[in-house]
Amino acid sequence: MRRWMLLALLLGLAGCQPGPKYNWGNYSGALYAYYEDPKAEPDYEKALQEVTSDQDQNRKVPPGLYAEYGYEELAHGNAAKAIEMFEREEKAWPESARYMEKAIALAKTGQKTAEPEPPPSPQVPAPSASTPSS
Amino acid sequence: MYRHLIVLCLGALALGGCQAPLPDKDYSLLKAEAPRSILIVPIVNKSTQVDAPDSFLATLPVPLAERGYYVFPVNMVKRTMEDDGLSDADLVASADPVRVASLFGADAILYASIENWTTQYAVISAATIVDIHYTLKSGKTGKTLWDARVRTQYSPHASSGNLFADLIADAIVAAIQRAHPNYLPLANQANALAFYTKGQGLLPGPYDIAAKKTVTQ
Repeated sequence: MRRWMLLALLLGLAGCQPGPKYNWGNYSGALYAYYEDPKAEPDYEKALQEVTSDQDQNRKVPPGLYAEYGYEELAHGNAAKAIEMFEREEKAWPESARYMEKAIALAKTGQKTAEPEPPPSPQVPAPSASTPSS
Repeated sequence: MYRHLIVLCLGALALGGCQAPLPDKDYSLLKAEAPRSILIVPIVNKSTQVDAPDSFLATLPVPLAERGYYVFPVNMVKRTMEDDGLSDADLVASADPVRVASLFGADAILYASIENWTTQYAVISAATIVDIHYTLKSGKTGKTLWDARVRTQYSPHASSGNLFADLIADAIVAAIQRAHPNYLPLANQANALAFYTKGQGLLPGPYDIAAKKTVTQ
């Protein structure tokens, strides 16, 4: 019964001026700055890292940001981390499934051909899609 | 027992607080398709500001996601398209929306075209005028589901009450605008007008449960 009351109140309150649904951190400003000056990429990456590791259980990580963070990791040769992020994106947002599956497949093949990385010492197996994300 | 009543009343009051007027735009196609996800493609630029498209792109995900849609990761999408030879905004704009959407599995595509972006400089002030055309197309049929044209302007001016100080401040702002235009305030303003104007803006998406209730009531 109490849950119902809380839900009614929350719904009612949210109905009016909806505040931000998500915690965006400094994502927008950092992406903007990065496009203005590529040297600002580390700040953009930091912003993504902060937002995607937000521990607040009441707020979902905004759409797209796990993927963006994964993409940055991939660009720096960290395929395992990238795949983990792409999987989290897919899990959080089923709408992203087709794109993320493509990205994961690509990251996996890239893993083998990734330039000067020490030869085929098998990488840590990427967590399967069914593994609950930490 | 009273507590239940109080809570319900509060909820009802809050809900009733924002009845949206009947929409002026024809939303029948948008409602029928009810897209869940939006792919933002490269911004078409008809202005002379070379760096406006990327700057503008960076301002789009937040208002769209907050409206309740899944928004594809803009930067990753931009890079993917570059890798696939789809970096040219005009080319993408003229390509078949169904084909572009199918590459990503997107329900809808948002196209934005910067029709005009001009800063007019007077000696001691600068006003920036912007004109943007937003179009949301179906990823299934390619039809236009919604569109909006926003013309707005921004003139940074804050009065301190001291005429002399204001003159100097305005001159400094104008100089900064000239050397290093800041698109953010104006882009945010244009996006808010386009997506959130009642009866004209984009309908709330599937992740905007509360707002959706008030619209369908």
